[in-house]
Amino acid sequence: MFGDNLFLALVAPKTGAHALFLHVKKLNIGYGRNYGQNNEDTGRAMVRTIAEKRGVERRIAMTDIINVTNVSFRYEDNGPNRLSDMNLTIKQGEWLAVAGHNGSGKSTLAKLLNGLLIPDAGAIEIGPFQTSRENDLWEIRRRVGMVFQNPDNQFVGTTVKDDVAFGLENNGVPREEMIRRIEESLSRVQMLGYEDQEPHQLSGGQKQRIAIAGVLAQKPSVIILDEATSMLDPRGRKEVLKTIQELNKQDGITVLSITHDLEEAIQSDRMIVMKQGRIVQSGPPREVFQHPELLRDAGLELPFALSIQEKLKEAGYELNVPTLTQTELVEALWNYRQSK
Amino acid sequence: MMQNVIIGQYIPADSLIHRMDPRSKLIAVFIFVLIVFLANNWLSYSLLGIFTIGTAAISKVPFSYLLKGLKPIFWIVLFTVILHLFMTKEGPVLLDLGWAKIHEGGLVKGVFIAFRLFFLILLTSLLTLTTTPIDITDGLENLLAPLKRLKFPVHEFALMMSISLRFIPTLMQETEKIMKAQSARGAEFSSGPIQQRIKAFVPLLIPLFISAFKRAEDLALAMEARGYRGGEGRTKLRLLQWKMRDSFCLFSMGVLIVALVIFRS
Repeated sequence: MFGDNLFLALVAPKTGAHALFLHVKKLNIGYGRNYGQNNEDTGRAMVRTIAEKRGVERRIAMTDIINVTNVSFRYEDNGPNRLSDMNLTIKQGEWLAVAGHNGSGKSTLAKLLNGLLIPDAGAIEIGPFQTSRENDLWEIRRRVGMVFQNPDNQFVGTTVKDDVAFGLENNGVPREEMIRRIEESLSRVQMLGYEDQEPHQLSGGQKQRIAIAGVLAQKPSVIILDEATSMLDPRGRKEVLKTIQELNKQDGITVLSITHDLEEAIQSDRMIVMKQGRIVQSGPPREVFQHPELLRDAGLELPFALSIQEKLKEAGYELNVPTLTQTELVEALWNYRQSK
Repeated sequence: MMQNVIIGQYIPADSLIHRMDPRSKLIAVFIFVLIVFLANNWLSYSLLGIFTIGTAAISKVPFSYLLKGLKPIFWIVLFTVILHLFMTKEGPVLLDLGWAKIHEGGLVKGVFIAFRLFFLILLTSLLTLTTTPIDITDGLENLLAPLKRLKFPVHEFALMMSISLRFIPTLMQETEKIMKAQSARGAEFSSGPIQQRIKAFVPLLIPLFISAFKRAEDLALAMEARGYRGGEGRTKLRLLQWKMRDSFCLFSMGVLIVALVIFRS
């Protein structure tokens, strides 16, 4: 059924992907709840094959997966704008970090992206779907999975497997398929063997990984982490970030991580900094960190290595490269005298 | 303390009764509660007794747990027996205390009522001892499904139950945390006059309620984000399987009814 599309995709990637989307769209019509859309996986695999054929290690595809156009949003009619005239494009397979202080509108953005909130002005498109269209909402929520901040408050099921199944049950996935997907997604987050555990027997990091498994089971194209690591201990944070990294690198799932922890943002492909509902900075982390004063102005705490570098600069020792991690800082200090 | 919280009184074991479908157990208990009132002579009561004790024996639930379940109703049973001893005036007088007479009918009726209550409690607690709360919820949801036509929110009700069950240990952990925090600031929960102890619980309950509301809000958002939209068209992971043993259970309930009707006078 997808044979000719696949061929098309290999010849002309963009048209192929487009035709595929049309296919998906056609399939969706008339089904209240659709499940088992492997179409997108095929799409993702396709992107990878093309990349390999060209001999380039390209994880980030050319196709846009999320388009935010001129979006404004406010909670109360006369209240302040939480998002003002925002424009943002996210590419398939990209890891985008959204940094900002409390109240900068970053969580609002997350909720807008999977249709929990609907923009007052402008449009949000996820592939061919739009959050303002009531009929698209369920498909958008399946494609754009969310992991929230509090590990306990998003655990719906009485046991691990019930919780992973929750989204599948909502989408009317048949039971046999459900069991298969639960096992598959639990193994992706290294939580196989915990199926019958109850939430209070798990650590915070484990609960967050179960939440990720619950999202994965739905075969999403985007995972949004809304400060998902902020309540975890360092070990739990590491576990979760490692899982996310694997999903992004190996499965090509688009990741949007919302955080006020700049250390986490360093690992992303691109980051945006938000302040009072606007994007004040955008680019690869390395470029964004070139202007520490702007980050501080947005109410963010600089990563350790960077703040040490700044202190050194004040004391008259200027390192010529921005250092983001501890290793880089040590390297720069090591070479300091040599470079003089 | 929190590592082995047992919600409800479920005793894990591998027995015929444990493996039975919650629906058949619920129906059987419901029937039993009704037919207990059919018994009215020694023969029919001993039939009920054999049935109850037999079921308890098959369930492999330790006898001590069953006794524990009976303890709270001991005083009620005693009270009804005494009431019957003095109030029922049937048959020959057994004992004349001058101020009151104890009739044979009163003694017999008192003993019957005591047994009736014991059987009732024993069998209903067997249900909760051999079935997890979540299974009972599933069973109820399934059995009450026809009520949907009368606009009774069966699915919502079951979901509410299962979420409450899931959050009991979480809220207990939280209570413990708040208690420790308050104790660290000098609050006394376990000593002092009763009035003060009740007062000491106010600063415990308020933060607990606030956080419970916060949790409810977060949970609702998380559920919506995962595509929850009510019970319509939803599939279920938990599967209820009606097996031969369940049909057999209902069949034996039928036999019990017939036997009771024959033996009662």
